Amino acid sequence: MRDLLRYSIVFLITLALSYALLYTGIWALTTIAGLVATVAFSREYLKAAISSFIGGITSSGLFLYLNYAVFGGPVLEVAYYAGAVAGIPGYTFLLLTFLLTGIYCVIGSIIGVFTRKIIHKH
Amino acid sequence: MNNPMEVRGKDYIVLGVSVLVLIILLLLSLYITPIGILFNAANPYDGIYGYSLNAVVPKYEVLYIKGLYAPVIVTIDKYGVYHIYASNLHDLFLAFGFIQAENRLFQLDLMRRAAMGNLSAILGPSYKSYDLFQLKIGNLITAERDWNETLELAEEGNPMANLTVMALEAYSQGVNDYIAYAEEHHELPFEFILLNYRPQPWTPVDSFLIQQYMVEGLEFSDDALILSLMYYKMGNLTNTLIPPFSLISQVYFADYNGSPNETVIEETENIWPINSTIAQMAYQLYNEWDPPFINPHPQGHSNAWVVSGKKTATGYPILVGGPVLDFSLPFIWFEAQLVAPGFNVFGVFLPGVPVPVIGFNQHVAWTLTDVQAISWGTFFFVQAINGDYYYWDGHWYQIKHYYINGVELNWTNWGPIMVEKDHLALVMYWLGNNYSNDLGVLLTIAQANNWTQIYNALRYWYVPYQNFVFADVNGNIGVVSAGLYPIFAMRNGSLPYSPNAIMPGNGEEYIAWYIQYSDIPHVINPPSGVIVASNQRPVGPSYPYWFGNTMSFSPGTRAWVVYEYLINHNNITIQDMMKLQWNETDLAACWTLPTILKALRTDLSNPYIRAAYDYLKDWNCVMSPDSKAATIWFYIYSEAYFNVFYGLFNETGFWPEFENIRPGPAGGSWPNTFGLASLDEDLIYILDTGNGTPIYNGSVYSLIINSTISAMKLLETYYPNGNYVWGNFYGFYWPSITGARALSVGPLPGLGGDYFTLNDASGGGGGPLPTLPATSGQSWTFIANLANLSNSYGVFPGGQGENPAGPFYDNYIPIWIKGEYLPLIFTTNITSQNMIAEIILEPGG
Repeated sequence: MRDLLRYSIVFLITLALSYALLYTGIWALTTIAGLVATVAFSREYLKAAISSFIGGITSSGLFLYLNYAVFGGPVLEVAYYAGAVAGIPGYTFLLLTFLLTGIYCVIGSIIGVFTRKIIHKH
Repeated sequence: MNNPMEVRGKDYIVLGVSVLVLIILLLLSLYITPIGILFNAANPYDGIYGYSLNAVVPKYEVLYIKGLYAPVIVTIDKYGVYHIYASNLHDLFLAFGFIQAENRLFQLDLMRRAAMGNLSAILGPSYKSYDLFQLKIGNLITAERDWNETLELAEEGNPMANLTVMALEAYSQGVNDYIAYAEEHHELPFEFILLNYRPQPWTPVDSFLIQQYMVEGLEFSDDALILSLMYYKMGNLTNTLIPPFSLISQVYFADYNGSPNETVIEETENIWPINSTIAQMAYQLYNEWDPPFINPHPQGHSNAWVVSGKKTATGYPILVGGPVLDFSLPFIWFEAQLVAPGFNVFGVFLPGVPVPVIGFNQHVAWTLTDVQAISWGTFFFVQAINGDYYYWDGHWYQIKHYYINGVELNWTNWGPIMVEKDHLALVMYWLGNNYSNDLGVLLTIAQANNWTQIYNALRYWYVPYQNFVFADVNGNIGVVSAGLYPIFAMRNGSLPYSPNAIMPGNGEEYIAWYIQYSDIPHVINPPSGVIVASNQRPVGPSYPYWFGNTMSFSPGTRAWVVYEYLINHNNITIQDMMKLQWNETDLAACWTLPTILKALRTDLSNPYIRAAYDYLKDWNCVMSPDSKAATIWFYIYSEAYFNVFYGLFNETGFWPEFENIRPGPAGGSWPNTFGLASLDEDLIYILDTGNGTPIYNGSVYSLIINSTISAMKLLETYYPNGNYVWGNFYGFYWPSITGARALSVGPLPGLGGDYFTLNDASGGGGGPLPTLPATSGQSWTFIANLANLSNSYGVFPGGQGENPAGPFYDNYIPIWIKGEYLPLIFTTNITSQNMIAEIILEPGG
């Protein structure tokens, strides 16, 4: 039960921070979201990684939804047509968007857990 | 038990792997690789997704724009047309630049790159030959020179130049304001992100580049090379195949129907004989000519006509325009009304140009068709060169060098050196490289109050040659074949060599003068009350100046259909004009059918002949989609073309020496033709009269019988069930400028037609769909009602925007393809019922 609470917090912090950091346009900064969320709350790589990954994916989904879907922007159509021009299926862009945000957050979470362990050691 | 907080060896491994993955991702994003571009495109913040906002049309919006003096109101009417209301001309053009860029930014950039020869920088090395050709012909050099000359004229107080400078500078500012806006809001078209570049600022030179690109599309040809090569192999037979004047009757709208001018005939047939070296150079240039870009080139099958009030139900003129251009998505036209004090014009605009090419104001309406005269304004000379010098008129002059994008371009007095060999240069004199402020002329026409102001403005229109057909609300109608037409002469006073072929460039032949403006083909208020300009030769054989041979003008079938209708009808209405514009009657079929039927009747025991005869005997020459007879006639004609000309070109040795001068999939007007109107006219003449000599010395009846049998066999292979209706053989196709199939539309079945009909469907018919669909057609079906210009109609087959996810990408196509029209809302006070959105542009930003 405590773990569920702990990793829910990791998820929420990752989501919120990652969402905010996406606005910088420097995608890799979402690594910080994973790091911050886990450095204080997590000591297990796997659980930290899973919750950060879900947090990252959700943040990019929310980002697209709030920034475009709310204004009526046809995000899916744009992805489809851009994919057609690039010669790839349109969902590849969406897949990449979600996946990469998740991966950045996962990397951050691993660095976060490691940092927490180092801090604990000292 | 292990302490989970203890740092062990595997922790370092996990950390190391994570950091490594991070570094790889960062490197992939930073380095320009396809994966890196995909990563950046997928960035939620500034990747492709931002372009989805561009597809949204808010009902009301206020934007702050740099450079405006006062607020500008922009409305979008219920048909997607923009109406821009400004308090001064500067703001009007600036706002237009902003709005056009918002809708067409990638197309703007692609067109200027295509014009100047800078596509390989974004599309890759496969476009290098295209770029080199574009650089060679001089578009960028000319555009820069045109802008500088316009600036100089403006400084000297020339009002047309002043207006042009103001309009282009304001327009450029508007485009650049939008680029800044799009970058700030991450709304750049996704093409920029996928191609990993940002649009450079727009400049007035870029607008002149667009002008050059259109001149290249409308008045630029390698016909002279083909003619010289034909003469090299075929001798005088060339002049039989490509005669000075058409063998079939013509509607000459600017008269000169008298006896043929013998001097003009002699000059046209006086082809300079070339030797094998020059023939090789000509063939080399032919092979380099026109490297493929995204679209095939436009077909010269446009229609324009105007009928005076004495023939109409309202008592006022009706003007009809149907310029045939390439189809693409986004489409070539952008439709808008521009309003400022003293300026109120509605029309279709090219991307990059802030003035309508075709349109109307409260007083006048005008439309255009290509004149297609004098070898498309493209001439070739052979000049001697020695090192850095060329020979001209008894002297050696230094070659002029230009260096653009690392390419050295060499020009003589005539123009660019296109091919060099054995101290000889094949030099192109293209009139497109002459100064012409078309934008200034169009701006002046847009403000005209009557026909005389149009006529006077056209004095300054030099290229491309265009039939300006116009009418005013006072009931006047007219046409001017505007352009600068050179008069060639020999220094020794002898007969000049035909400018339709390669000419000697040593100075013996030169341009003595240009046809005076008062003498160029034109007519105002003809007694018949009818003017038809459908790319046919505008002046008859007694015209005193050389005006080109039959190679370039259209055969004239379309002009006849319109002319006969207008002459034979009174109380003509807008609805009558709508029906006429989509007419599917093929006059070439009507002319040739009697002989074809006579020939078929001689061999009705043959089942193929019998079947063809049974369909054709009651056919009305209408190329309707449900007609089998239409398909049979089309294929008999194609087979006869093959049987007559292929044999000839083989027998004379033209092939295989010039093997590549052959029909290609996108080549001629008809499948399996060169696209030379002369040969079509020859064949129509042969099939009409039943007399083939000296082109075809066999029996014309046998020719028809054999062509019919092979046509019917071919149709049988296509459709063993016999369902070879014409509609199965052509459809309209709109290729995306990105080349992506998913962004293209078609082939869609449309109303009937072919190359000879008013509803142009050139390019189709090469086989069952989707083979060779038609990729051009009437690009704006425009009908101006001079009784009440607010009751005019028009639609173009495309949409206003380039965003495929937006509502205005291709929304006009379903209307156009059915031959329907949209009302053109021409008002200074648009009602809320007619409006779907309003944008207020405020100074600021």
